[in-house]
Parts: sequence; structure tokens; C-alpha cells
Amino acid sequence: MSRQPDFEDASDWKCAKCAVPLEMHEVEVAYMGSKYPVALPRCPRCGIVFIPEQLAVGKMAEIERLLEDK
Amino acid sequence: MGDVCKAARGIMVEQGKMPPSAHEFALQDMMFSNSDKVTLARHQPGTNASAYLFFPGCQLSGSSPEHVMKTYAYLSDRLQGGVGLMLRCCGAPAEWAGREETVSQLVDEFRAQWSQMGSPQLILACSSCYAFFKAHLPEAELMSLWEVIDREGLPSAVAKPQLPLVAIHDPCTSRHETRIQESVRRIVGKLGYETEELPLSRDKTECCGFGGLMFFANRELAEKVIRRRIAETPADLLAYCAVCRDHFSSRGKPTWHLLDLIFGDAVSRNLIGRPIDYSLRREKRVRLKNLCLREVWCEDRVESEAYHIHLSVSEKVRGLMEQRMILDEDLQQVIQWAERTGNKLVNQETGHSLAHYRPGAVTYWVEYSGEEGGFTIHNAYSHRMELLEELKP
Repeated sequence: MSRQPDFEDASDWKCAKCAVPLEMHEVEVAYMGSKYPVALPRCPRCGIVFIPEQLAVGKMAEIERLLEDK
Repeated sequence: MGDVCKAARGIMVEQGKMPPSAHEFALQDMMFSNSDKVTLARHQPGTNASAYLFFPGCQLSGSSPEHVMKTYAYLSDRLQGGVGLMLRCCGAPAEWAGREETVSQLVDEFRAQWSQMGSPQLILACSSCYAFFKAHLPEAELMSLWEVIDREGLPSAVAKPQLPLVAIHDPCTSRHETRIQESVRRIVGKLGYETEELPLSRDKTECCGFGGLMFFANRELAEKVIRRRIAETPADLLAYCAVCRDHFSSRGKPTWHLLDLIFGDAVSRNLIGRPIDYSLRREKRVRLKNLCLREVWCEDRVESEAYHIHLSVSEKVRGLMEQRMILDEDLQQVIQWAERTGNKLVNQETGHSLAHYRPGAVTYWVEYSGEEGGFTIHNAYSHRMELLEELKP
């Protein structure tokens, strides 16, 4: 998860509340007792994060499976 | 092999090694089917004892509740001594998931209700319920619905759907039930349909991809199993398990349920090529209880899902939701949260909103448009990994 995924569609989205574009920022994700830092697009003001579909159903799902099979 | 897998699952659950993603969706669906919204246990109207108890099972109730209504009317008409009705899930998903403690709890609950009703003979429409009760309720006298219809005769004035040759698919849980397989073939024979035996049938029949919760634990394998089975014959399939019908039908194979032929309607016709809609299955179970209370027991009690948010979902997105095990209710929770808090993203090009929310063990993401009252869903996805997000007001 440390490798930065492809976020080309992140620039299409902005925070609805703060009306500002998202910026890459390190955020923690956790599963089955393990925590990992990952760089994700995030609103610099309120902190809302964007996880694109391809990341959720691709790399994240793959890591979930690996952790479950451990 | 099935017994080995089941034993291994039991050990994994006991040792806390079972991954949550494998069976959680199916177990939650089972809990829903055993909640107050869905369950019902009554003697036949106008009676206070039941010689028989019709147990249609949660899958037929969620898939074609109209068949449950017609079958109950038929049984009440044909059998003497009172036919009770019980709506709930037998507990087979818990057994398949290796949850022995849950199985014991569900069997105890069932036994208490069934004893209270006078321990009536059970009439089962689903072969998984049959196998489950045979294993866990040895004191009960079991009868498959197909044996009853075979013995009592077909309902009168049946306008049969016109079908060419049909190939009989035996559900995997009926594999060792020769009497049930025979009854089914006799019924089809009496109805006058020309049938074909699949290369693997009866004691060698194949699974539809649902047995053992394969569809939830290993989707890729289940898809392979479904596609292999439907490719075995160019003829339409005839199933006597609602899940088998739904799995084959949703993958485009014309598949009929035996009740379609018995009651002369073709409920299954509308299911061909349509994704399995898990939200609708839940809703149908709730509606069935209400319909039974209203039309059979003449009680004006209406209980329904509190869907305050109306969703418009295209067939394409519905297919994705089936694949990703996402319910309408999950989407509604996300939208409700996003609209209340304002925590969402907005697409600068399309104007669509994108929000996420984690009501339990899964984070759901929904891309939507619209406003209070009605929303159009453009996409939905989820992940189990928890995002440790720190939101500032």
C-alpha cells in the first residue's frame, strides 16, 4: 500500500463542503489488526478522503484477501 | 468432501480464523429473514391446531412470494387437520458457514415454536431446509412439498405454460433424496412436459453455485460452476429450488421453477437475464409476511421497510450491486449521512456527489445525483479496509 496508486480521476472531484480541490496526503488504513499508511487524495481543510473505485475493487480488495488468507 | 470442508470451517470459526468477508453477507441475510419483519408462525385461519406446517424457506419467499401464497392456499385446501404456516430461514447458511453455535440457537428457537404448534408434520419446499431439519431435528416428520403434490394431485384448472423440452436440474441438497427426485419427475410427467435428464443428475447432480455459500465465499468459482451447468444442455432448465432457478436465470438461461408449471403461471419468465436483486429479495420477504397477515389472517397490520429515500437504480448498476453485495439500504445510509453532514465530494464535470459511510464492517461509496426524496445512483463500490479519516467540522 505504500506505492502511490493512480489517481488521474481525483482532479475531477472537490470537497463539497469546503469547495477546494483535493491534495495527496498520507492517511492510515486498517484491516484485521494491521495498519498501513497510504497516500490518498484528501481535502486539505476538512480531511475528507477520496478512494477511487479502481483502488477499492482492485488493490485494496487484493490486500484484504491476502490479509484474510494469512 | 463437503463434510471435510464443513468440519474445516467449524474449526476456523472456533479458532477465530474465518475471514469476515467469506460468509458475512449471507449470515446477515439469514438474520434478516429471522427478524420480526419477516417471521410468522400461525395455525390455519379458523383453527387452533396444525397437523401440518408449511415451511416455504427464505429463498422461495424472497424470490417468488406469489408461489408461496398459491402453495399455501393449495395445501390448506387439500390437507385435513390444519396446515400452519411458518416464514423464516431454517439456518442452513449458518451450518454452511461453520457457525455451530448459531445453528444450535436457531434449532432451539425453531423447536420451541414448532412444539408450541403441536409438533406438526413439516412440509418443505426447499431441499436445503429438508437436509437441515433432517440433520438437526430428527424427531420431526418431514415431507417434501413435491411428495405432497405428487400424492394429493395437481391443482385443478391449470393453464400450463407452453414449453418445449425441459431438462430437470436436481438441487445439490436433494442428491440423496431419491423419493423427492421421483416425485418431481412424476409431477412433470403428469403435467405432460417432455423432459431430458442432464448427464449429471439425481445422486450425481451438480450445485448451482450457492451450496456451501460458494457464491459468497468464492464468486469466481461459483460463476464457473453456474456457467458450466447451464452449458450442459440447449434445453430450458427445470429447477425445484428457488436459488437454482435464480442463479441460472440471472445468467441468461431460461429456467423454470416447478411451481410455475404446477400453478400455470410463469413467474420465472421475468427473471431471465436479470441480476439477482438482494434488496428486493429482502423486501419481498417483508411484503410476504404483510400479505399473509392481510389476506390469509385478515389482519390489517402493515409493516414495511422504512425507505425514506427513494433510489433510482439502472439495470447496469443493479448488476454491479449484485456482484459487490451492496443493498439499497447500504446506499440509503450513505446518502442520508452525506446529505445530513455535507461530508461528500462533488464532481466538477458531472455535478455528481460521491460519499462514503461505514455502518458496520464495510465502507460503502456511492456516486449519486438528485435531491431530497429521490436520488439516481450512478455507481456503488465498497471495501472492508477501514479508512482512519480524521474529519474536521
